[in-house]
Amino acid sequence: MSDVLAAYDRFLGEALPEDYAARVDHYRHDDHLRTEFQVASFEAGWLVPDWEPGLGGQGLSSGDALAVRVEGARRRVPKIHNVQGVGVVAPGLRRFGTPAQQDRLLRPVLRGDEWWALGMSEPGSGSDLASLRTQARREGDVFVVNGSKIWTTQARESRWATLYVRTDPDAARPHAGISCLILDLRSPGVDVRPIPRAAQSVDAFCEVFLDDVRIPADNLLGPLNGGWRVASESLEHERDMIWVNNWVEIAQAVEPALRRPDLGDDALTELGRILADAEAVRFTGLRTVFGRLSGRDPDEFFILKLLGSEAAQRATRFAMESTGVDGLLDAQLMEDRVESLGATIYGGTSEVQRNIIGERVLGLPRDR
Amino acid sequence: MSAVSTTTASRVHTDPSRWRDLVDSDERAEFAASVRAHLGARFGPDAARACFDAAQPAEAWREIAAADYPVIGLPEAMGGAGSIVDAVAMVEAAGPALVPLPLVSTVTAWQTVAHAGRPSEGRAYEVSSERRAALAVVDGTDELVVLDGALADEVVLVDVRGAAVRVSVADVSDAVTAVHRHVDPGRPTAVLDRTRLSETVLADGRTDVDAVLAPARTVLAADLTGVGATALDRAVRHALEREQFGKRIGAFQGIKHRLADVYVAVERARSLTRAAAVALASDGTSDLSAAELALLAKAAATDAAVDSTRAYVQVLGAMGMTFEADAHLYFRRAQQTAPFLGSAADCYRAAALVRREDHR
Repeated sequence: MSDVLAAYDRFLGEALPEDYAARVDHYRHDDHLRTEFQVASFEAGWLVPDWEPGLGGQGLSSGDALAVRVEGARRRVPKIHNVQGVGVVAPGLRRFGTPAQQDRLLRPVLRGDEWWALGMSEPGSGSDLASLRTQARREGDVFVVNGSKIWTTQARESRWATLYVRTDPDAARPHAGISCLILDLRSPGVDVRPIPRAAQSVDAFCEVFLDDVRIPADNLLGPLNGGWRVASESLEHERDMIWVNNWVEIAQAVEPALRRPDLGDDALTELGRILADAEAVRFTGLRTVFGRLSGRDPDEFFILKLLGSEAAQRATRFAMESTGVDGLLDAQLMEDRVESLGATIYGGTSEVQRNIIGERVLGLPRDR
Repeated sequence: MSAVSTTTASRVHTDPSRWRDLVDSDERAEFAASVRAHLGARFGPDAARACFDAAQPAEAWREIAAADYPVIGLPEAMGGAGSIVDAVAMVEAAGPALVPLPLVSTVTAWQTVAHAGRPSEGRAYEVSSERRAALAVVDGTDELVVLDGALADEVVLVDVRGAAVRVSVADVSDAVTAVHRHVDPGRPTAVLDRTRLSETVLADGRTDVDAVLAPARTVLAADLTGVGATALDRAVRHALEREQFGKRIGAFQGIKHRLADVYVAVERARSLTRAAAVALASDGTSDLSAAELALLAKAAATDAAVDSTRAYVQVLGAMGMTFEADAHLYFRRAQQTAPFLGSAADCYRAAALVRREDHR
């Protein structure tokens, strides 16, 4: 084992309860532990290990940071509760934020003291995000914002949101007229309404209504009308790493089946197919990482979301169906099953992923 | 809060750096490109089509031997150089050419010998590029069904009937009793009469059948991945040219999404195949057994090749059902290779059993 992984192992030994490995399914719902663990990871430099000390990191190489992420996922360390805060908002702030924005906002989001929502989808703009219509009009030193957002995860618990708004309705291409504003969700004119969920374990998503909300012009994140770039580059960090969790989740969903001696041939075949999916996610992810390290831009990256989410769904289906009627007695199985249905929707639906592969990788003509 | 057991962490190696060889070095990428160019120019669909009317072009083996492809990735003691990762890159790059000679069967045979362990007297079995070989699994009768065995000079036998797996080699001489060319005449199936073979035992020290067959499965997976990738490439080219209803058919989501799914299948197969090769080359230092990875790779590559070549026929429309179009040649190559060393379903199932065993 490398020195880095040995040090991470020591950290986990101190930060997690003694019986963590044995009772991981119990601790999965322990929100207090999740909060504490995020703070401890931040302080000790294991939260984003390739970032600098003081920002949740310790300046590790990206290869070592990957090793830590893999090991953490494999050991099922407590999940970050406001995952988009650390995974998407923090990289965006670090890349595009002014020094004042970074000073005020980076540390609280990384520690989990202040949660963030992503104000992206709208009622009329889901897969077609560039068509968004929430409008921001400049008046002196504020933007006046009107419109609404939907499917905004954790908006009710969050203090802030990255709000994508139309600042230039006359731009030649719709992508070019979008800006990113930092919205204080406590501002007058903001109305957050939770949407009832299909499953308890799905993080609450909300509608956010914006009625003449005044946002200081200083809260512009990145360049005016440069919001599309802010969005895509903020998502990059997580986009390159999310397969690690995906791989482990697929493998873990079918793990109980590995303890059963009574599976028939068809079930074993399906189990093998899911194991292949899980390992294909891992090795494709690693090909992507090593490819980027050697200066390429690997096409195979584009299969990760589609394969990973579809496989996660097959895995939860297998977990339920292979247990027969007994599976209905285990509430967690159905929770996981319903939750997995979202995996092929959020972050770009499977249908959009197939368009992306067809057009960007295979070079087929656009149909729009 | 106190210490968790550190043994759980150190038992399994998850350090990703050991998988670095998943991605080709510049040198290996150049080598693969040269193989693709050489074999593509020398063989290709027309050479495969010619095998329907004439015998396989046996004399052309000289050129394959001269390039030393058959011994690439073998240990130096056997007369080779490099690792099985190089062999896998070479075999995948040969895919577009539909080579009508027993290159893949020779590589499966010699790679099996290379990983089977040394014979008791400690001498490695030396091979030469001039000799063509094939692999036979002995699990029942003395009638051995062998992939691409018609031109083989030697046959490597993996006898799985006893407690220990026995790997032996024999000259084929007059043991071929039948050759079936109807699926893919460029890569026919031969039937060998085992009672006519005089076998020399090379290794009998291992008990795990799937471990002994792992190198051969990995090589077949590379072949199937190469065939699948080629069929996809050709289907995409057609979808970019053919117009119906006033636009190129690749713009329709019915076609686009089908081909996107094929792309996923091909890359899934490629990732698992490379991983199996890296695991074999690093000899048991990975957290997954090479036996399991090779089973997953063979299964995934079989799925990818059969689905991709089928999609290639479909995208061509009625043209895909003609002798002159190349699609059926790739489809035949995929169907011919698919059942050897276990169907996709067999391999998935066996992999699940290996994982269950390791899980205990």
